[in-house]
Amino acid sequence: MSPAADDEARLIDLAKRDPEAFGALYDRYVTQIYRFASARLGSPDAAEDVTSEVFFKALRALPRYRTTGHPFSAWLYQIASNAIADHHRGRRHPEAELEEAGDVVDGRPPVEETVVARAEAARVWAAINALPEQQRVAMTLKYAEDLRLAEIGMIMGKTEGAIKLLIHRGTRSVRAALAVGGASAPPVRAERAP
Amino acid sequence: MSWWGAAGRRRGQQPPPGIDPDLLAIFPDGDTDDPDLLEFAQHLQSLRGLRPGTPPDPGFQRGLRARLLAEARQRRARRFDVGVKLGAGLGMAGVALLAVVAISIALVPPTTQSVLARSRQAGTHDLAPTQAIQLSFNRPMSETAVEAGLRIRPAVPYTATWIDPQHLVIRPQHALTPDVSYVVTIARTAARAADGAEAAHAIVIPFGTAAGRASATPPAPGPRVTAVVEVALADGASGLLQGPGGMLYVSATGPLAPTGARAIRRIPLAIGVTPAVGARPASGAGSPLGALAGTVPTASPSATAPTGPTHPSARAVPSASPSPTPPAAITTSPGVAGNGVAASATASPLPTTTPPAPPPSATPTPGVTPVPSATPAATPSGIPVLSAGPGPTGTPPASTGAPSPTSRPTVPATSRPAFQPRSPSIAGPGPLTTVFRLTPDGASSVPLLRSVRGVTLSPDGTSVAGWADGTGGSQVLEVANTSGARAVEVLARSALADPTAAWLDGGHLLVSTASGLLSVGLDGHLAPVDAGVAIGAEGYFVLAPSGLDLYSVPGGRPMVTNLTTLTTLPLPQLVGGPVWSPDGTHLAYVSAAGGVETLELANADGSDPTALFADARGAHIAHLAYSPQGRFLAFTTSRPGGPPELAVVDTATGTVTTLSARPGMTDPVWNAAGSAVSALERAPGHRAAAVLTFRLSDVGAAGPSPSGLAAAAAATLAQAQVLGPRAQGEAARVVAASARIPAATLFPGRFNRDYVVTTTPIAAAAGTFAVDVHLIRDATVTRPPQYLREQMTVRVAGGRARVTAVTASVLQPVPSGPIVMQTSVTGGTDGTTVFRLQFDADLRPSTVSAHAVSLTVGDTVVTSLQLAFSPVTRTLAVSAGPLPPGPLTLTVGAPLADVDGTPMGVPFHLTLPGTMPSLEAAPPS
Repeated sequence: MSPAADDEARLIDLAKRDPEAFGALYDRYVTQIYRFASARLGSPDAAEDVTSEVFFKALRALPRYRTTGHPFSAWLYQIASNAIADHHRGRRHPEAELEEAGDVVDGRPPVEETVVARAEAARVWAAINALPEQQRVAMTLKYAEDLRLAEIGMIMGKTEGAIKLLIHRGTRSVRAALAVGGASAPPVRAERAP
Repeated sequence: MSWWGAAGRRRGQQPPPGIDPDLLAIFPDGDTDDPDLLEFAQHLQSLRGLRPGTPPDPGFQRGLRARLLAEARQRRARRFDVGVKLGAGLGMAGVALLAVVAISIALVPPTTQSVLARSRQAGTHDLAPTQAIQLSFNRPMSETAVEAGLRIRPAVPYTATWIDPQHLVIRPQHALTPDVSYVVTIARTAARAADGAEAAHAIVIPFGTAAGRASATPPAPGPRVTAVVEVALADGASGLLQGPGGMLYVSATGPLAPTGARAIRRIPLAIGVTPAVGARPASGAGSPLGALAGTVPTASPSATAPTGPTHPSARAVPSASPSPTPPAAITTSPGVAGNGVAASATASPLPTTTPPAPPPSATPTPGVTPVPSATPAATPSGIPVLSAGPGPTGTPPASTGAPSPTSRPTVPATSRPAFQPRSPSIAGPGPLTTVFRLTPDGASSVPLLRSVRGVTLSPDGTSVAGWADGTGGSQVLEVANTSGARAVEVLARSALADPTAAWLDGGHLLVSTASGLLSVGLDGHLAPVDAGVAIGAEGYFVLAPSGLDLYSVPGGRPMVTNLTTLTTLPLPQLVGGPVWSPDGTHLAYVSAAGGVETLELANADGSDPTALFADARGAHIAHLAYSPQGRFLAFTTSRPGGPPELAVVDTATGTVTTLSARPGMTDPVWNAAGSAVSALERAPGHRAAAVLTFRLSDVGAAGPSPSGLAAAAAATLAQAQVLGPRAQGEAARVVAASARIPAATLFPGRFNRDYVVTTTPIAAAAGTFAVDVHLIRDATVTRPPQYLREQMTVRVAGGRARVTAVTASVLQPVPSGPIVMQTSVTGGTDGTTVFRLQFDADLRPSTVSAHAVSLTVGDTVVTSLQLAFSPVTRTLAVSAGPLPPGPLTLTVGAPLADVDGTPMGVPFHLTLPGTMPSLEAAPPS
């Protein structure tokens, strides 16, 4: 077990015995869980609701949590994915999510490049957002959250092979969508760049 | 960047460090059928830093942590006291409930004695203003107590109805104000159950209303025709353009005879005001415009026609197409559009990379044959041949510099479409014509180009181009100087039967080829332009004035493509005629659904479409032309088989006015001042066409439109936030660079709505305006609505707005009492000046008095003010008689109070440098 994983395991164990230690786990993961929810839901309030739900559920279920070799964050993502799915099921009109892509504004130059990159990212994430649900979740967890295939499999309740397939198909679809949508595809070959 | 692709894998090379092994596992070595997919996946991964999603609000993060730890402590204690049932309460609420009122519940102590309430409307930001608010309690309530402690902020009168002791419906007396952050509260002591239990805290239901479209002010009368003059007669006239300096350019198959500004009295000028799309046609009405309004244009022998009646109620314009927006009146000011504001007003193109000219070389460039170097290519004909260009998805020639995602060749500057808009129904080769330059007074004319079609005038008005028949069925692009001083030059040759050309700037034309678009310089340079869409041999295009959007009809399917993002605008019912407002914020076009054509107005990105005009009897709408100030649209409309008529619609109010009930009008163009519309009149059965000029009044003073400024201001909000204390010059540059980035994109979740409260000219600097903007953050359960005040100096020149200075307040709670959301100032022809202030709350009638409102002109206090408040629109109208010259200051404040008696917490001031009218009216919406 890596030092980081070891440290995490100690925190989890401590939080099981002393719920107030849950705060350390919360501090470690709240930003990425919120961000994940925000990306999927668009609305900050909905993201706050889902984030609250994730951590309250995690707090309550923590005594039953068993270390599986996957990071604790994978478990939180799993709860978050379910909560987001519930949220979408409860909405008649899902909010547009990716208009707000590229949200973190650091204000540092060069702004022009940032704007262009932002537009590019927005198109990519819009294409990902248009994928079927399973592909979208897998693609988001891989490309946005940078999780391992095994972790994604654990979150989605699928085998690693199935996750590979989802991401493979999703990647193909995104590339095709960008091309069909009139967009110039991202630089698939460096030699094409000027 | 170097890529390690399939070739590298096949060679057995180790992947460069940094490649995600997962990606290698997903896109394995054996995936030889698509070796680029790994690289594409890596590209996706590289965008992780720009992934969607925001970091949490620090306040939320701290609050949630505190609540989690509070529950953790309770759970610890619960081990010894299983009687505490917070968890059960949460479980009952379920996931859906958590999504709505999780915070409320979490704040309630773990006791079954507590009163809990929930509402489906809680936390929504786009509630319909007419929707009731429903509250559900976890136990039967003391109805009297609850009603006594119930408040809505901003204050509106309402009725409270109990469905049963646990369910309450709150119905506002009038529709809520669109685009407002509301909070319903029940005081803690009032949230009392019938059994005596109380809530642990006040019950708070925050929500926001959707941005509305209904205008708060009655529609202004449409423009009046004060005179009609005939300036020329042209045989076989087929097109009309207006150039800088007011010059008219007429395309005609035969001779043109200037007639001077000869007054026309034979035209019936009457003229009805036609507001409604979908309004029932009047029986027997012969005119589509008259039929729509139910007001048949009345023939009048006078050359000065009275303005027809207005129909305020008919401003509600249901779209004939399945528009995603509800039927409503016309959007009047983008500044109050809230979340959906179109933030593209400054319309400055993103930094672009002009397709580099091919290097001087004897080697022909693949894809473009031949490519000229410093001079037009030496083809057998001596002119460049527009035979081919790289398709948008093809591999561009390496020597021309391929577009990359970060440096994409886009059109370099503004353009004015040729005889636009062309309707798909008249696509195809037109007749060969002569292009005449005609003085606006009809005094003289000069032929510029002969035997050409598809004429286009450069934005600076110095050059005109058109296509002439070449040898072997080809078309040659000819260019002439509009002064007539320079000989006609043949610029390029095309094999297409009906090629299209439009000026990018004074020195370049955008030209269609069979496989894409080319930029053709007056020096003969050719360069591919990646438009993201193949125009095709039969297609044609129109370029937006900003140069950022391209309307094309490839394969007979009309579409608008944004050249910056290379995405197609969501206009599925588009059939033709797109024209862009001069400030680039809006797009007017013709859509069709179910056989009914509708004139629609949308944001420049295609969002928020609104129907402006339609004829249920299937009239054809064409020849759209924006006024220079962007407020009016001229267009023609004709019933099937009937001749067209000329009309003008006020995009701010939806008022449609017939300029000519006499049929046969086409090709309207506005003069630079926006005070006249010229058009061709082709009487049925007559070959000669007249060039008529309609002189108008009541079209607003020339100058920048506050509504356009409002949009410009909204577009800059985000940048202003980003820049903060940066230097003013930097602010202006950055705003220009990202004018098309909506504020919400840069600040997701930070603000929910924005109000352009005032836009006032600065006396000391012509063309400069002070813009006061409030950014609103909706309330949550734990905090009231907040706002941040932006004060900007906006300079308008050449139809574009630039922010030259910005100051911003800190984020703070919205002031108590009613607040002003938006203002407008209009001047009447009788010398009166009317200030309209739209409030978020209903005002207590007894406080609407001279004690609350003051108007000064210089040091003189104006005593005779008339005040009127409309509770429906929540608009206070302050009318003053003729005013002496001098700066005006309007002050409104306490004791003015809302219906709950809460006085204005912060007085409102509006300062203008002189008497009105000096602005184009922009009624609040």
